[in-house]
Amino acid sequence: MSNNAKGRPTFDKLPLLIVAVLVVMASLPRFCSVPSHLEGKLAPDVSIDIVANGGDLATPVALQALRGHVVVLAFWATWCPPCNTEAPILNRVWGRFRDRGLVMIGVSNDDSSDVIAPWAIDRGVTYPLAFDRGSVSRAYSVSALPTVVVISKEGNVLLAQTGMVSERTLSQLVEKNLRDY
Amino acid sequence: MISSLTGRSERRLALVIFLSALIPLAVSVSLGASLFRQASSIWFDPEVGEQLDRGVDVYKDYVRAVKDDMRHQADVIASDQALREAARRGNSELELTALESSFSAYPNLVALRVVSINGRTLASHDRGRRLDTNAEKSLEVRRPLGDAASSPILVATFAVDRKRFDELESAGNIVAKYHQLEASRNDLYQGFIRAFSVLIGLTLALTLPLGFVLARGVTRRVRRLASAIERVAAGDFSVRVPVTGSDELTELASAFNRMVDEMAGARARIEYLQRMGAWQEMAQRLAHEIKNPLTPIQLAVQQCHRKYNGDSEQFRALLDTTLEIVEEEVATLRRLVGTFSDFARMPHAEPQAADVAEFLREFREQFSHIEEALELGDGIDDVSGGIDIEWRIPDEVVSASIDRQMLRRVLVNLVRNAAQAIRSSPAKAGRIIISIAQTPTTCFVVVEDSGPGILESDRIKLFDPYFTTKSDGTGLGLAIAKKIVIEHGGEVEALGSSELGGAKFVIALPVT
Repeated sequence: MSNNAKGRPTFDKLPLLIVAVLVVMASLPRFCSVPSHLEGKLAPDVSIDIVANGGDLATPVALQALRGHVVVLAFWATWCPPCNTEAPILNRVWGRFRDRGLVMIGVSNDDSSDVIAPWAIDRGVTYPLAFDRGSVSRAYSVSALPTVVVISKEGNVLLAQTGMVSERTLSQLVEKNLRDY
Repeated sequence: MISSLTGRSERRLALVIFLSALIPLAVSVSLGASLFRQASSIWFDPEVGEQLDRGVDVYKDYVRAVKDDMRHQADVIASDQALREAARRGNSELELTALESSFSAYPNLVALRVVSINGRTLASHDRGRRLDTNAEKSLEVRRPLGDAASSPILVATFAVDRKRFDELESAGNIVAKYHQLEASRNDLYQGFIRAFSVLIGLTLALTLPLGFVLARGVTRRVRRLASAIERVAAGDFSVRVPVTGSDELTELASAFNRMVDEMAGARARIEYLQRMGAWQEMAQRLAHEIKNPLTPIQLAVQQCHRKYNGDSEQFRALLDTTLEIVEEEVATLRRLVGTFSDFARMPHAEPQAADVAEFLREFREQFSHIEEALELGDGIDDVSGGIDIEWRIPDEVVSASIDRQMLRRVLVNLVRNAAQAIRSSPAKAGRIIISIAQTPTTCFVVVEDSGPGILESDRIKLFDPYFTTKSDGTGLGLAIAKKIVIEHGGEVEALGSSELGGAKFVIALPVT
């Protein structure tokens, strides 16, 4: 029938439409599976709920409000043995630089915030500990634990590393950034 | 470009969602199109159109017949001889009489008039009521009343029920509309197709991003796992994946974490046992090398002391002191050598299935005897005086594989350390808690005290052989304890006690 032939051109545009939609979607920002893509970029601003060792930190603390400090975000969980091994390292670095303007926050990936304070006592950890419902980890594309993110005084990500950080690497980085003022 | 920016499973899931939306839509389009075509072929059947046209024609014929009938009636009236005669004569009265006599024969008549050629009414008769234009439609028929050109003219006004004409009109309208529709059905069809194209476009625009978003939640976690697996495969056991959500992937993540834990634990155990083996070998050699010269040294000095016959009191005193010092130091060295060879010859643990809770209860019973053997050091007469020991043993069975004798040795060591720590504190009194905790895979035997605690920096070194914080320690106690626990497939850790403020030793044993 002649009316069929007339209706067809509309269908012929469909592949074009599909391609257009795919192109649009391909240009959407992609979820990166590694946090290291953040290095050198401005640190995403997040709100962090401090639940232990808060000291004079406000809670929730906005990362934006910590400009002018070198900030270390250490993503961990109580059930994660390498994180437990890393904790004393972080604790020593924190002890050495806290008076010079280092802010260190352990961001817990645990299911509940109740386990955090006892863990701090068990492990002798004195740096502030926070509970994350997922938003902070997502903002920093945390794919595995432990992950350490070092943020400069200007708010740029200096280091975003998955796996245990060495005391030497962390100390040197913090020291350098504290001096560059 | 697309493939490099989106994952394969993301595209696959998006495609599946899109197809599952598209297929029903496409089916409904084709169904709708065929229904439309079918309906339109029935509705726009050429026969229907012809029938409708014929119906209108019938109406038209009827109306024409009505009009013809009236013209005919007018002809009949005009041919009335009396009227024609009267008209020829120009007699109005006779004309009127003729009009009146004709009038009654034709019910449709409204008025009859005789009009002169110049338009003057010569005679007229009507039915007595005016024409109702709402209900009636009028028809005026003119007929000459004679053959001459100047003859007067009969004007007959008929009225017909208007309804018939209205029906004709509306039937005509309907048929016209039908034809109009018939002409525009292609437009309708195209509108239908266009609406469905828009629907398909919308489906595409909504389902594809939805698919990608849904898939990304999953693929992001899969990618997390994949990158962690890569690291583990490369020998790096220092990463764990965050356990999020509550589906199969969550289980997979925790299973992966457990696996890495076990692998890391196994590697640490092997390394520790290897290190211990090296230490044991060294202890064996040291013991041997030290033990051998001890007897000759002692004998030589004893001989010197015995054989001296001189008179010098001073020298005699010197010899006495020397003998005393050498014998004491040799005894100390012998004891050390003994510890070393004990350590070197320490048997392997041979764990057997047992109830840890029951083992701890038995340990508690024996503890009064063990206390005497605790050797808490100088100046302490009452071993447990001022130290409150609390046992927290659950009633249910806690099954694990243990070598009772070896594990007892570990516990004795831990409790003795705790007691010594409390003694060394300024208060010289305090509490010890011995407890059991359990998870589905692990049971924990915990010894914690209210002593001064352990420096965080010493907590790992503590288990190395020959590391001690005590003035008279050999640094072997905790090393042996750790070796025994590791031979159980477990792990021992030094922590801080959140309850008592002192040290906390956690022995983790796999549950059987």
